[in-house]
Amino acid sequence: MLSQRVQSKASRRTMGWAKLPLALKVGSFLILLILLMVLLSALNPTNPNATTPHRLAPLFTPGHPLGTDILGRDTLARVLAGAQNALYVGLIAVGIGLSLGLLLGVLAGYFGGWLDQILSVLLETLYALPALLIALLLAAIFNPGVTTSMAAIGLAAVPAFARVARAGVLSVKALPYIEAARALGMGHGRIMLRHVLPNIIGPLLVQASLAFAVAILAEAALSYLGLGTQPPNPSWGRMLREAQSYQELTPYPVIFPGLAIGLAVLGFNLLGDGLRDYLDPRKRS
Amino acid sequence: MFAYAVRRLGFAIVTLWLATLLVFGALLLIPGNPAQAILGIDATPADLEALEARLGLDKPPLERYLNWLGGALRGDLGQSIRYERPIAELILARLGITLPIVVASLLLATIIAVPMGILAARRAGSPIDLGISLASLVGIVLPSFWVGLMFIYIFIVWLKLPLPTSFPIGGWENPQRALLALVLPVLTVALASASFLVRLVRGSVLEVLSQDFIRTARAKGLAERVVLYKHALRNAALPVVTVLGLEFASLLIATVVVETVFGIPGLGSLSLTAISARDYPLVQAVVLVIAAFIVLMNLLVDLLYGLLDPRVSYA
Repeated sequence: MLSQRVQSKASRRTMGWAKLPLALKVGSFLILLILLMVLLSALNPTNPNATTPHRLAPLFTPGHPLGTDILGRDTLARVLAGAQNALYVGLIAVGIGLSLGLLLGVLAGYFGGWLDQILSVLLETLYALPALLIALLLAAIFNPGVTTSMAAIGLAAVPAFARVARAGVLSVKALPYIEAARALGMGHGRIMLRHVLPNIIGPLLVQASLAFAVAILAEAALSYLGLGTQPPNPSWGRMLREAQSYQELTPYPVIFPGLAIGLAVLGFNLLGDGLRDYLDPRKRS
Repeated sequence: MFAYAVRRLGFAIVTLWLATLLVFGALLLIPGNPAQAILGIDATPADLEALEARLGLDKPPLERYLNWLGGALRGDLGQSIRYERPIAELILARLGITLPIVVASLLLATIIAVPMGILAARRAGSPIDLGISLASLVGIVLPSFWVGLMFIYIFIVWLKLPLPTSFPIGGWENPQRALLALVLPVLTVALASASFLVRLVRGSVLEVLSQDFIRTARAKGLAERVVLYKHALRNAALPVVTVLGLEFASLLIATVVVETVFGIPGLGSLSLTAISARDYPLVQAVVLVIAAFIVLMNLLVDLLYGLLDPRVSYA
């Protein structure tokens, strides 16, 4: 009896795994791969910023499996360290976008009226300022660096999060259980936190995953333009900028950071798409 | 419709005005004296005072903002410190290079993406559909500037095609050389944009094809060609047309990055020079012009949507 129940539980779990959207599985796998890169970077004895006399080494050189750049720095070590940088920038930027966007979106959706109007004009204004423009402004005010690029990417992500949160709140707000909560005398803050938020978390997770992909691309672009991570710290975009000038001597310091960016962006895009399919009740059978 | 258009226009104007406040306000946050930041630490007091007067730093912020806003409304964006020339003139000259790239890329992207998207939707689930969808995914996840670098390596280093790797110094004075210099940048931007458009066209056509009126058209015995071109595509075009408008604005940003790859002196290099020279009026102006462009495209798209689709009502 007991074993039967355990078995059915186990089979249900494997059935659940088989039923998960393919995009979710592949996306999770790719993100695990990026996390593995971060782990390897931490364990790697080769300093990604250490210059060696071994310049422009080709692929499969002993000690430098992916070769070296013009300063003799190990390309593999720098690509691995770049993963850490990309995840770090992505986490902070998505954190900024999610927290600010959630706050503004929930307030606009829950209270509606003039507050909603004002916030929607504000968000529309922010929407006209993509990450690159905010980064240009911030780089003019402060010195360009990883902090200004994280702030710019995060601020640029706010309107999308706010839109998702607002739409979620609007669809939940009219449901009877919210009315019941209000009838029981609950305050606005408690209703928003305990009853609204848990029910809009799904779409927000999807948006967070997609925003993470955008953040990694934006970080690379800003670092490539010299507005993001500063030398000598390894960033995928920064590596592309440095390696571009001697590309005809060796293409590998250009090829690998680009592939790493593609892999990470693909991972988060697929995770977001897969999560959306998984959470969409119409598509779940 | 008219009332909606007026309201929407008002919304766009308020948005633009807030953007000017943001852009102007942001530069008030510069720590210390902006004139000092521009001239460096060994500037003479006389030079500092002269630049402060030129930037209007001796006046209160509100007066400076109103002067700046008034100028911007008349098309006068001030003087560049780095170039010693009117900023509006500088930006127009750079737009003369950036805009052709954007327009050509968007055209090329549409030419590639629309037939591919329709094909993928008609053969949904087939190997052709899978191939097109995978290719578009690859185009979406790879950064465009990296693709540009790869193009340089493949076409110029490897295949040794006689393409210039930078824009001619005289600009459009040598049209042939200038056009050749734009081939790879346009290809780069167009591929990135097409990858994104293919998905959209495919989704849009698929959705229309599953609707009742298409089944009716087929049931009454219309040829598949007629069903597709006369009934389906017309309805699938609407979301695609509106997104094309938005894509136009976002391509302006994407192009800024790709310009750097190919050494093209467009809006991108202008803004980067402005940052490194601490040319604050120029930074302000570039950001404002691009933001205004985005607001305008949004407005146009919204108005167009109402005009194209009689089902959309704005009560």
